[in-house]
Amino acid sequence: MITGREFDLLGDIAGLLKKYGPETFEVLAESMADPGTTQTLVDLLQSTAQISRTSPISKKGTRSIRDELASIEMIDSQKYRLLSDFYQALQEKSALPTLKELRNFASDCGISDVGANARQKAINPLMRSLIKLPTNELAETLRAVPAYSRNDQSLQGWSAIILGKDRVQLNEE
Amino acid sequence: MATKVALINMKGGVGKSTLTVQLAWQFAAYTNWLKRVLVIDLDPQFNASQYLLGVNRYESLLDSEHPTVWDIFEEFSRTPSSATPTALDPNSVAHRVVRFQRGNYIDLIPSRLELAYTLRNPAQKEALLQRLVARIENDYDLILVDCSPTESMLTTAAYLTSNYILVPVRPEFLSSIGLPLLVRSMDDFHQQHQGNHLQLAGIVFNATSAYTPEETLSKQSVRQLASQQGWYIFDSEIAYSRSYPKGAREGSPIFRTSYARQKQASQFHTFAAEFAQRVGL
Repeated sequence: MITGREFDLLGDIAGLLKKYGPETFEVLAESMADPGTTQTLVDLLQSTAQISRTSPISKKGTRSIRDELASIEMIDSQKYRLLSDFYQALQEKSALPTLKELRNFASDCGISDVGANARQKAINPLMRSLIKLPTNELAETLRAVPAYSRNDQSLQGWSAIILGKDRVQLNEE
Repeated sequence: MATKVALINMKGGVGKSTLTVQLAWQFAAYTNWLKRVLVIDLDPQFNASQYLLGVNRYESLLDSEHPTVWDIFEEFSRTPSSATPTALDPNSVAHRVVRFQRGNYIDLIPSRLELAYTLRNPAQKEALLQRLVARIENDYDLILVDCSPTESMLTTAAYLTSNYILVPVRPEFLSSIGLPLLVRSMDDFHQQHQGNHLQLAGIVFNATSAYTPEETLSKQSVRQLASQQGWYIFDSEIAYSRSYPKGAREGSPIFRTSYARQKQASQFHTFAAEFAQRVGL
């Protein structure tokens, strides 16, 4: 007697049979008869399950932005640095600390609506738009972020320009 | 052809640079205007440059030998090392401060301390700014000239470059004394440059705090003088707010300064609207 759950599996198998063809299915069935292959498959499934358990995407979208940044790092290190520094500054709230400021900046970048009512949720749409920009345009855009590009040591910095660097000791970053 | 406005008062500390930068942001960033704005910093104290760029960008600009307003006035100066003066590329002088995706932007011709040295040898330099601006003004809708508070060749250069003058006045005794000095300065200019169409856009009371007797008295004096000269006084005033100096530190306009009160931002917006009407923006 086939149970409902087994019947569902049979339906799935029929779908896969149609997708991959009976020949592929037969070859795989023979391989599965080999205990070594079965064990490899079990090991693979277990490790996948472990990764899945230990890396929950608890902050929706966060991981995918980091993944996108990682892939950019291999292609364009300058762009990666600009984006990752800004992303870090957004997370730490040293850039665009309020939702209003973030929305204003997004508007300047041509994103009419970041589609979120919370600052944390608005970060990813903003980052995705910035990722699309060419590097030089990105650098120019990030210069317009209030305060962020102004880690100035302000008075010391201006004093160094006016009096000369030899007369003003700047703090090393 | 751009509308060109010089912000001037023969008294320092009345808020010229802050007002210049605020107006630049208003007209470039607000969606009902979306103007292409150029700020010319004509003050050797370079406060507008400091506000718009911040120290890091300003320093890298100087390091890259980007031209400043000093280069405009010294374009034809000969030095022992350069027997033939090098012509300045007018398109290289303006530095892009912020560019909005809708095509509007704020550019800056920055100033530098050395502009003060130009004043030691000012002969025949007053028309050089006007000459350069004429070659780039089609790239802009609004050009704001932030002037230094003393009468000099730079004042004449600002007058020659501009269509309008905007005069910020703090309603306090010493600040209002700058007005008669300005009247004399403009009279002298019109006598020397007959046919020039420089107009006064108006006087705006800046950094007001309302209801104090000294402020009321100063406003009355200013209104009386303005009435005698036929000068317009803006209906809208700009109230003092700690968000203005805070904005200068952050490099933000009032409407983006963190935790600035909406009331201050909307008050400035009202003034900007009246200003736009006055200068035909």
